[in-house]
Amino acid sequence: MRIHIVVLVHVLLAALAVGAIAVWGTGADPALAGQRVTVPDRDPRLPDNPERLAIVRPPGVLVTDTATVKQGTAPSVLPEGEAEVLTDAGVVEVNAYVAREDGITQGLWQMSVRDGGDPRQALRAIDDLYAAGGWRQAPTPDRDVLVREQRPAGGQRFSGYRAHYVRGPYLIRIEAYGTDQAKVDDAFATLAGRQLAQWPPR
Amino acid sequence: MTADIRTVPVTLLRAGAALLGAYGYVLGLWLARHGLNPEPVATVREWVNRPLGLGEDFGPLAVMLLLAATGYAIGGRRPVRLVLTAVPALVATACVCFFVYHDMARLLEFLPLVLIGLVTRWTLGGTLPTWAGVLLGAACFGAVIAADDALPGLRRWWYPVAATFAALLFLVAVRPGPTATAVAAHPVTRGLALVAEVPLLVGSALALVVVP
Repeated sequence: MRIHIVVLVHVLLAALAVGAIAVWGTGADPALAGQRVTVPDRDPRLPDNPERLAIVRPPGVLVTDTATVKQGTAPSVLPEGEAEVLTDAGVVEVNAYVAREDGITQGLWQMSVRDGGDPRQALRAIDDLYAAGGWRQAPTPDRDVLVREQRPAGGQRFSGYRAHYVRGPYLIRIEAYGTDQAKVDDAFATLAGRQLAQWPPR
Repeated sequence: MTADIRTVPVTLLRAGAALLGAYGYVLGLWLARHGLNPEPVATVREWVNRPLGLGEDFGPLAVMLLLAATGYAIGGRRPVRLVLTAVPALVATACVCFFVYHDMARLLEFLPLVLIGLVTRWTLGGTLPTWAGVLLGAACFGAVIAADDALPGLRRWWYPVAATFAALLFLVAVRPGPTATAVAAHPVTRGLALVAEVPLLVGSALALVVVP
């Protein structure tokens, strides 16, 4: 008799939970529906979806690590001009690794574009922004990767590279900057090689 | 008829391995080879497999449970019957590694579970002092992690997580209470325990026949 009551209580609690899910869904806030990013799931048998983080870790001491923050950070962590352009193009979430080694800062930014937005439009928009800011086009290893570079000029001492490309719902940025041109070239080439080998544009 | 308390864990674990093996290596494998992800399986993959970190629809967990039960069983046997008891499970595991994964090195990730079963049996039986049993068990677990690190391409399948679950479930099963003993005495459970290697063999045959 006791066992029947225990089982009955369990069944009733389970029915309550199932009923709540049936009525209210699984708890996604409808106000956030505009912020949803659907990450493609290539193999549902994997214990975790590796595409949730499509950036490698740059070498050196990490000065920024928002890569594993679950909801990411808002685009407002980027400079105002970029944040505006990217938000208009549909970027809702930013995850980044920025590391510093040997005077060179290297960064990888994964900017998620919401469902309904077009990552390629974000790519064009950010590339146009950099072009307008005086960054020159640099040789690119891949047609789908847009690379811009900056050399020291005027009062500005830094050399830098910014590469952008699209992978699934993400706009990914590879960057390297510092005051030593040769080291920046090397660091950028290595980092871009690693990142594009593991997470090529798609 | 009272069941011998030492066979209860083996029966429970083998029955669990049979169920999970059928789900993972027969149903799951067939669906994966056809690239399908239909509804009840899709929900289980998203709400059970992913949160727990168990991949391949519990397939490797089933193998590990079976091997832990085998290790536990052979701990009480004399050498001749030991081989007879262990051979079916080992052959089934080898078939899975060869036909499903095309990678015999994966045996190195599964076999330490046999040792964990064996060491636990000896520790509980008093043959091994507790401290030695714990150390050896931890060493076996370390072997699983080392194999996972050494073999390329396995990192994303999280086999050590499956090994953790297998070890924990095994350690719970070796001290069965009255309910567990009653479940183990049930004919369905005993039937499942008898055929625990069959889903692995069927899965291996499937893997041969159904090419993606």
